[in-house]
Amino acid sequence: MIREKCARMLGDRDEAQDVAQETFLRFWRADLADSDPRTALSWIYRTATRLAVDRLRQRKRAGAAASPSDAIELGPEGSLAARRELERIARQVPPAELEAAILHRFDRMGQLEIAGVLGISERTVRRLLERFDRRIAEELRA
Amino acid sequence: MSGHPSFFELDALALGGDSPSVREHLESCALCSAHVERLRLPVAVPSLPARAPTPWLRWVPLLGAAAIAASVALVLAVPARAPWLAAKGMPSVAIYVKRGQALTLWDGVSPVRAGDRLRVRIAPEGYDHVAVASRSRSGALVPLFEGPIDDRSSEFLVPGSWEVDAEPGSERLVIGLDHRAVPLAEAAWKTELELPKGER
Repeated sequence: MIREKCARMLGDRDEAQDVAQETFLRFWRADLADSDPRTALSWIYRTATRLAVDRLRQRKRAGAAASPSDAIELGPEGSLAARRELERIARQVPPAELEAAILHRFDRMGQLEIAGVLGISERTVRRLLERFDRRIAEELRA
Repeated sequence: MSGHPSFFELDALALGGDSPSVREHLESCALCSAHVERLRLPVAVPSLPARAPTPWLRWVPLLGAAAIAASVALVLAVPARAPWLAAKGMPSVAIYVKRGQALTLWDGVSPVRAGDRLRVRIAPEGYDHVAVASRSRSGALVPLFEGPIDDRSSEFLVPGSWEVDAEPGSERLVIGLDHRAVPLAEAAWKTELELPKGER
C-alpha cells in the first residue's frame, strides 16, 4: 500500500521505493501498530506525501512538459504528463500547496479527507488548492 | 471528482474498514477492485514450529496490527553506507534491531538483547526465492519465513519481525536464496549469521 501510494506520487521507481522505505521505517519507529487502521492510514498518507514533496523539491529542474495543455488534467490514476508537470513546478510551489495538490490529484481525495489527513481545516485545504490552481494557470500562461 | 472513491478510502477498506458506498462501487469497477485485491494479497508469514519454541530463542512475528502488516509494502530504509554482510555484487543480508523506539542496523558484532525485535533485509542480486530459518542448539533449522522475492533486482525486506528471548546463547540465522522454492539446505546461496546475546 505504501509502495503503491509512493508510485502514484513519484514517477521515478527508485525514488518511490526510497520514500516507501523511509515511510515504513518511520511508521515502525512511531509504534503505531496498535492504532486503529484509519488513524494509522492517515499518518502513512501524511508522512509519505511530505517525504515525496521533499524529494520533488530537491530535484534539479526537470525538462519541460511535452504538452502543457494536457499537463493538468488528471485521470483517476494520474497521468505521466501531470506528474512531470508537478516535478517541473515543485520547486516554485510551497510545500503545503504541494501536499494538498498531491492528495487531491493523485490520491483522488476530497477536501474534507485531505483536511483530516493533514490536520488542517477544510477551508485551508480549499485555499491551498485554489492557490495551486492559480499557480498552474500562471505557469501555463508564461 | 473522478467518479471513483479516493485511494485513501480504498486502502481503508482493504485494511478492514467498512464503507457501504465503497463496497457498492467495487461491485461495478474493475480498476478499484483490482487495487483493493492487490492490497489484500496475503503476505508470506513465518511458519511457526509446531513443537515448543526453541529453548534459546522465541520468535514472535509482528502481528500487532495484522491488517496493516498484511497490506503495507514491507520495505525499510537503508543508510547509504549500510554494512551489508557480503562482497560487492553478491547477495547480501542486513539485520535491523529495534530496541524500544530506536532502530539500528546491526554492526556485525554488538550483542542483541532479550526484547529486541529483529528484521532481515536482503539484496537478492537476481535470486527469486528466499528462506529464513533459525538454528536451534541441536543444529536443526527452524523455519521462519519462505517466499518469493517480488523484485529480484531490488532490496527485499523479509515480512515480519521476531523478538529475541532471554535464553542464553546466541541467535543464529540462516538465510538461503535460490531461483526456485527449494529446501533451505539446498539453496544455491546461503549464509549463516550468529548474533551474540548480551545482558538486558
